[in-house]
Amino acid sequence: MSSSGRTRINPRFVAVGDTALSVEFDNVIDPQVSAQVRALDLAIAASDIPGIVETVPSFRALLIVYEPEDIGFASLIQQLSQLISLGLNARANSGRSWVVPVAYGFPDEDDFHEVATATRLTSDEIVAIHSSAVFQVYVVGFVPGLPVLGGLPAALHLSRRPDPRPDLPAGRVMIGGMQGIIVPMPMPSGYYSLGQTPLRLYQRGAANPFLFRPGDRIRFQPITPAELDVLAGTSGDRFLATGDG
Amino acid sequence: MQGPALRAIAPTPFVTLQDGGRRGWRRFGLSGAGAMDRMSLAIANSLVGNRASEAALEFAHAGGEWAVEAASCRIAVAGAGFGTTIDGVAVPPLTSAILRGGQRLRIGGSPQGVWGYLAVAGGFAIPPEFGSRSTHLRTKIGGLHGRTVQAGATLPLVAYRATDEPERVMSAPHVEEGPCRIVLGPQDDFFGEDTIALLLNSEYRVTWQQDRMAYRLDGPHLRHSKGYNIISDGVMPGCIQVPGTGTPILLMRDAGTVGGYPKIATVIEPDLRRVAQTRPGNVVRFQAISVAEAHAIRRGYLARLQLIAEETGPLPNALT
Repeated sequence: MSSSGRTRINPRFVAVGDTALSVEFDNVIDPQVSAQVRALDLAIAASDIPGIVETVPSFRALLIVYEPEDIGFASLIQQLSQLISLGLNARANSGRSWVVPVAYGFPDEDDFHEVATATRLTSDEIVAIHSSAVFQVYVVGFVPGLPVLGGLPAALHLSRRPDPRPDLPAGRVMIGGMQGIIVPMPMPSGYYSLGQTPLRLYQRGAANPFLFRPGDRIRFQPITPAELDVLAGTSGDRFLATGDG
Repeated sequence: MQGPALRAIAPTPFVTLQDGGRRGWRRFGLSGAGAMDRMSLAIANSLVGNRASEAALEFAHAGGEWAVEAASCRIAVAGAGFGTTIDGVAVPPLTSAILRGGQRLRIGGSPQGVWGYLAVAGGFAIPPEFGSRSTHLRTKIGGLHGRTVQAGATLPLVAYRATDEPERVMSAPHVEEGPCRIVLGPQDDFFGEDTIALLLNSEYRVTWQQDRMAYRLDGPHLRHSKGYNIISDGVMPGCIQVPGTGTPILLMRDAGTVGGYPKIATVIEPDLRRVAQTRPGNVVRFQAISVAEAHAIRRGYLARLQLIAEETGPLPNALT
């Protein structure tokens, strides 16, 4: 990457049926690659390329849903290539920063102890390591509003459960494999629960029903279980880090 | 006073409200949902004078028993030749009919397909969620409280009584045959040429593991040439994903927005409804085409959708 933050890249364009196209960057999970995906997403939103219905950023690819009546496949690729050749500004959309409160070890104490056993860390060490890392939202998906977080320190990497738990409630802060997640709505998961956040990631009927977007950065801050009730119902915006908008 | 409503007397298990689906929320993990067979949805709507993508009740295999809590309403059923009666009197196929308060509408099974649509003139007075009335069962979003319609449920209607127009009829739509067209990829490079040839030269049987999220297909296993774990990326309805077992899974309208299995090919939008209507035990064959060919087919498909409204007309007097 040059000092200006602009970078030359050669992604691959592949058809996904007759109404979508995937722009694939390097085949790795990496903050730089994720930044390229977001930069292209942002550049498309600011462009006047016709016929784009919606886009889906993921770890290393951007899915573009388009209306073939408005733009042909070759023309879409040509216009995307042109956009990319102008240079994607990977720093333009560095995302918002959040400080997410977590009551660690609550209420799934057993999960927490299993993580301690598997990682050979004490409870205090787990909290210290997890709450000092800066996570990045790579993807929002699997269920609506679920942020998949990269940046889990290696000391906390552990295999997922062989059997997923069937019904985890909203607000669980979890780890599995090399990633973290926060549960937005009841769902099954093979990850391990580290604690509970009072933040509501999904607010049905709100103008912006989903709290997190790809590219956002998240730090976790320990709170006590008693503070969960105090903070419940607080607007999500309060947890944006200062100076970020 | 209570407003007009359609009452579910004895609905079948998989009845949901569906329209043309939602757009713009996939980036937040919310799939588009919407009718499994948009052509049939358009036909049912056209017969009662609604716009093509108005929300209607979608059912699987049979529709069950319904009544109206209003003076009357105009209804139409489309999909796969589901035997329909009002108080025991047969409603001819592809024809609208009036259901009066106190009468019973019964929608039986069909040997020809899977998904059917019950449209009501004026539509349902149910607010859209994320820009659509389509039900997404997994997240309980849209439709009637995000759920399947249960016995005893009432669905509010817009119109208090059926208008005084003649019933409408449409000529039977052209039945498409032949293989289901696919565009290879986005991860066809995870499979050898022999495996791609196997996909294109074999019959795949639709199984009972079929729902609004996915259809599991039974046929020759598809072997990966470089593993089956990919970095999860965006998926679309129509994607044929191949997990480690080698058994292809065709993603449908309610499938998630990202997935972690290689997608060997993607069924084109105009043919997805044909596979959707394939009954368990029946087979599909696949034919690979280029994106340009797919777009030409799509133009014809959109033109046919447009024609539905034009091909619907008043029932000739002799038949009324």
